[in-house]
Amino acid sequence: MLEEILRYIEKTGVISKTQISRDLSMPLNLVELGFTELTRMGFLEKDQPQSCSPSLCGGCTFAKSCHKDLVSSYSITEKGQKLINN
Amino acid sequence: MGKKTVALVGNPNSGKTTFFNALTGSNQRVGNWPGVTVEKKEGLFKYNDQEYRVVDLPGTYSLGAYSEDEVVARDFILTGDPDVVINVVDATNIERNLYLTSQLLEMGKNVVIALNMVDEADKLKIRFDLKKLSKGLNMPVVPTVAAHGKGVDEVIAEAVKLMDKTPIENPIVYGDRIEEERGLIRDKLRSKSLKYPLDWISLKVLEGDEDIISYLVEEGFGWAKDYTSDDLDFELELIDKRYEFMHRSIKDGVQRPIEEAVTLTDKIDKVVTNKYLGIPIFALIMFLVFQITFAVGEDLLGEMAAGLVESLAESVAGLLVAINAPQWFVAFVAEGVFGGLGAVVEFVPLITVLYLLMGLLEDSGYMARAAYVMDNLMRKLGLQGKTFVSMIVGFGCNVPGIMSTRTLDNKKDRMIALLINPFMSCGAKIPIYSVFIAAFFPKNGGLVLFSMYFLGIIVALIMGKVFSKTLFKGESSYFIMELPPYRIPTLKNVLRNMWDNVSGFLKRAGTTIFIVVTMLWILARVPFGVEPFSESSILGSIGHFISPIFKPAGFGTWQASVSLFAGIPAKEAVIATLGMVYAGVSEGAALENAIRLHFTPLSAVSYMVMTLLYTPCVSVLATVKKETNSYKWMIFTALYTFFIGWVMAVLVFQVGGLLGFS
Repeated sequence: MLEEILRYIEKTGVISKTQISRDLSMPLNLVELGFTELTRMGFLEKDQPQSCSPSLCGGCTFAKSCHKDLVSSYSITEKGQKLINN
Repeated sequence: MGKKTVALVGNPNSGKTTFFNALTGSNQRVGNWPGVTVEKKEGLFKYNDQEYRVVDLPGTYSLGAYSEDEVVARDFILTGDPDVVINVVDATNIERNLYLTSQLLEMGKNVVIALNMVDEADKLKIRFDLKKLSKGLNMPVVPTVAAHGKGVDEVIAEAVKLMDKTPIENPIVYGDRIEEERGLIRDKLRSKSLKYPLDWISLKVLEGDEDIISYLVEEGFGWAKDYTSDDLDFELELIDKRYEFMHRSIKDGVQRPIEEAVTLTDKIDKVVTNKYLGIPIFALIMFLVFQITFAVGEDLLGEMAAGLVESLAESVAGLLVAINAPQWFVAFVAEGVFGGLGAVVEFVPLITVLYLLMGLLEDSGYMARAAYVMDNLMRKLGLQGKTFVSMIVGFGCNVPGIMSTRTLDNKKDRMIALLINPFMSCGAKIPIYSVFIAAFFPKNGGLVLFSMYFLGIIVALIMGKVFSKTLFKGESSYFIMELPPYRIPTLKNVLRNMWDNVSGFLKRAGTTIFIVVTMLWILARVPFGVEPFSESSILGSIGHFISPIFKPAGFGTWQASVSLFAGIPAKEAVIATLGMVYAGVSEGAALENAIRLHFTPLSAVSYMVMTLLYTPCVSVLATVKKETNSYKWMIFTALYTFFIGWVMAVLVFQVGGLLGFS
């Protein structure tokens, strides 16, 4: 199932947990848990939003509004890619 | 004969401690597990005149070795010799909770499931077929509401029944590959008596459990280290098998209502992320945002703000004259503060409305879709999809827009994203467009504003494509975007987003812009003796010197030229300069009138295009230097954006002229 999730997101290039849940006929909670596991095991990597840099943002008047996590994204790691290719 | 022991396990927040309290009442004691700081709770309870010991194990999601809690829980189950394990499961989140259950099954213990909080699950319309669930999991499942003591006795009855029975066989099917390997491991371990069951150890070794592998190495089984290698990756397969078991077990036993939010998200996404409709819908939404922004922020509130600034300017000037303030100071306040700074501040309502609407889009989850539909286009252009995220951030300010490119791992993708970000129209340019729109296109404000933003995106994409084919060749890295379910925006988030942006704009007006305006005001009055704000002042001379460059673009006056020059320290200074050089103390409508005298509709468009695309402000250039660690790229950014802006402005003016526009 985890492998199935990984292959699905590699193929579609988008992570909509609801879409995965529907297309792979898996409960949504299980899909969410699957993501946690895939990330924990190093097959997926959650991209971290850039944190504020005190040296550059300290005096910036827009510092509060700039580092928004507008879109969460993941990358398939080398380990994940290896699994997909096998 | 000693008391029989019940171990209580469950996920955090499953109601395990409530269950423990319901079972033991005040008959409990708290201590610590030996050698660790994890709290140990145990108590006594009576059932059918028999007293039992119950141990409340730490709440965990799994029984690996990732935390002290997990190690304590699994060690007690395996070596503390409990007679039965009660697994408290949150009925509202059964899928997640069953992962722990699957690991308990692997430990070869008798387990009873206390399906807790069934009342909450009932409210969520989650239905359970307990018989099927129990059959699927191969263990008794008892519904409980521990908070009200419901079902606790029934769980104990089932637990007591199991105490002297042989533990059930692990029902998880692992497949031939894993079973063969497990067999080999078990055979190798039989030579010595170990503290954990062999069946369980064999699984943990295949899972690459470092704790167990270290234990085996200490016991003389050095070969166990080989299983930490990624090449022997049984871990995923093992976890997959647990998932399959969980999925199979709950398939018939649990029925969830089709979540309305999920269905709605799917329905909306089918339209807004459609291959053909996605981008036109995004464009339409942005168009509406700018229409509303202009209608409310400028036409309705903007005029009120302009009126306020104007009457404040008159009152302050009158007051300063009345108290015999020095003439230069009266002039500075009138021309510099109200003529310059006031011309910027009166656009606060417009910016407020724009960020309010953008906040609504962000908080609803739509912006992730916008990035997704643009991602497809970006990939076709050979650009990295995440570039568009940094472009959206650049709508507020290009400094964070450029900084957000740090999330791009690939240097090629990052450099392209960084170099095209200045084309995104930042908030500081809004006052410029607004003044020109009010002067020439009052009936089409939203459309013109939208066109400016749209043009910025188009130019950025074209330049991105050019860079990917010339300076930064190579493959783009790959990433996957998460589309969260839609939600109703919360007032708190939207207002906070709006306030962060508006307060940033105001703070900048009070600091950077004030300094820039003061310097420009001085430059407009020196050398002493010249007519202030004339061509003979230093400011006028600078404008006069550079104005020929802009003649082909239709705005080759010294005033327009010097305003663009002033925009390099900060873009807000463009309108502040125009306010000073054209209107002095009377901004607002008077500035618009002055602009009408010096520009035509065509040269106004050409000027707006120039301000949209030309050299970004010094803060952005400094960020380019900092992020690339290169003056070369900073200078390149300053020059190439100026060139693109100039070419586009000239094209607009010349082609527009040929087409009969004036």
